[in-house]
Amino acid sequence: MKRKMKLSLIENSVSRKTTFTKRKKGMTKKLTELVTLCGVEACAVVYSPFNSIPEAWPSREGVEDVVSKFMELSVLDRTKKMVDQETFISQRIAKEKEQLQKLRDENHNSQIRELMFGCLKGETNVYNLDGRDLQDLSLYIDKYLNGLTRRIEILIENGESSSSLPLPIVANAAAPVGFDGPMFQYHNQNQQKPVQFQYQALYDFYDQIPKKIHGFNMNMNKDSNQSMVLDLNQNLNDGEDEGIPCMDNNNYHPEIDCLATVTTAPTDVCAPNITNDL
Amino acid sequence: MYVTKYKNKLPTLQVDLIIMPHQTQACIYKQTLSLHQIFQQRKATKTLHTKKTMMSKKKESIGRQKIPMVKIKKESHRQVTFSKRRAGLFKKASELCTLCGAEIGIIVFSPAKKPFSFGHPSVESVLDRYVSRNNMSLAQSQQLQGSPAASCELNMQLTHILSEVEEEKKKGQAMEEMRKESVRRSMINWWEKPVEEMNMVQLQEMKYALEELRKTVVTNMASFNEAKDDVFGFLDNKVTVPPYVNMPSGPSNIYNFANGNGCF
Repeated sequence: MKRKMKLSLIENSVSRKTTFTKRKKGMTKKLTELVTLCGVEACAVVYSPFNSIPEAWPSREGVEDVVSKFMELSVLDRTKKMVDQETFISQRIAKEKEQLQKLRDENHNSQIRELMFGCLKGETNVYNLDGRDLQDLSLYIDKYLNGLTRRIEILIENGESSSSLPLPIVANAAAPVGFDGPMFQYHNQNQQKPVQFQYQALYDFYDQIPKKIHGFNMNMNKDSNQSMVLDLNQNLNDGEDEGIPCMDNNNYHPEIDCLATVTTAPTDVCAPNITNDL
Repeated sequence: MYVTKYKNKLPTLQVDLIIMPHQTQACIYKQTLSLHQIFQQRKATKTLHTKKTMMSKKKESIGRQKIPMVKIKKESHRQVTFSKRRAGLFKKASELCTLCGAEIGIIVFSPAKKPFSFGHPSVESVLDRYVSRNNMSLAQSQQLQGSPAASCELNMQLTHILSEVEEEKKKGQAMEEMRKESVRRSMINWWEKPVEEMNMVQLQEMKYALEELRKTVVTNMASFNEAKDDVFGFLDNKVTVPPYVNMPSGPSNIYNFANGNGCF
């Protein structure tokens, strides 16, 4: 069984000698492992209070080689990393103190955290705490609140990015609607214009017929006024005035028919004229 | 697997179908060997992974492990090993000097060819004694100086600090054990989770509750300080009523949401 040995000189001489033998062997083994693993040079010299002859590792020649190499270095290089027992123990004490302080801080933080959650749950009464605990608790709450606030800000930023996603969707949805609207209107305009154009064309075509009919009626009126004088030459002159010889030939025959009609029923002929004037 | 099988069969097919010169066949065999090596590597990787998984189940980290006693190839690992083992070696030497009154001198050159040395009483004295082959005179002269007293005191300090470190470690482990037990019993509440695991509503509730608790704590701190002032006032024969007497005795219900104020 391992026992926590007191770090002081062993009183019993026999026990001290036994411990020396065992520990020297262990130390030598550690030195061997170090040399093997790291491929470095090392030596050790051990003077025992029980034996006047010093023990050297790895061997006398090896020790002399390493020592001579060691002595070749400058004094500054030699003493830079040199420690004696007191210096070494002081270094260990400083290192262990740092570790102790770190462990204490961690444990204290854990205690304050449990205290905070206890207060929140109502298990602990804030008014039962003393000044130092109150101050530490206040500092811890501030730190925790800062973490919470930072986390909330991160979530809000993510929330904004998620809420901004529908906006492009809405814009994309609105844009086609806006785009279709003018298209629809344009389509309507396209449809309406041809309709109007055709209507205009029809209107123009319709206007031409009444003029001709009107002219024809005027000619008939002239002929009726001059019915007393039947002169073929005058008829030809009238045709020339119109400028359409073929039409004149066509009109000649209807004129004769019309004269006969006028003779038979003058009232019917006058009535259409009045209607045309109106 | 299918692709692997196909790849595995491909060289054989070529060999069976076409007569090739020896060089080509050698290339094909090399390819086959490389495939074999790949499988070996995969098996080795799986073995290591399985081993790691098993170890992780038992412990939270990979603890002490045996290593082969050969020179470490990687430079950084070698340097780290040197630092750790050098410290351990010097520690053992120091203990041996303390317990048995021996005089030891150790010189070690680092992989970067820098000398590290430990000596008791000192490196120079031990080396001088060794080189000059002088047996007893230095030891006697050194003993007269009384250096063991300082070492003894330092060792006592070191022992004290080590025991304190041990106590703090035990305390930390005990608290961790209590926390794990509460987790095992599923007694943990949503507000005790890490901040990263909370959603927006929980964060808002937690923030509000903590702000209220902080106000209460600050108020109580102020009254605590005023109580100190009252002590001085009392010495001056002043009659003042401490402010906290009129305060409510219990904590405010605002942040006491564990009793179900509509938060659940």
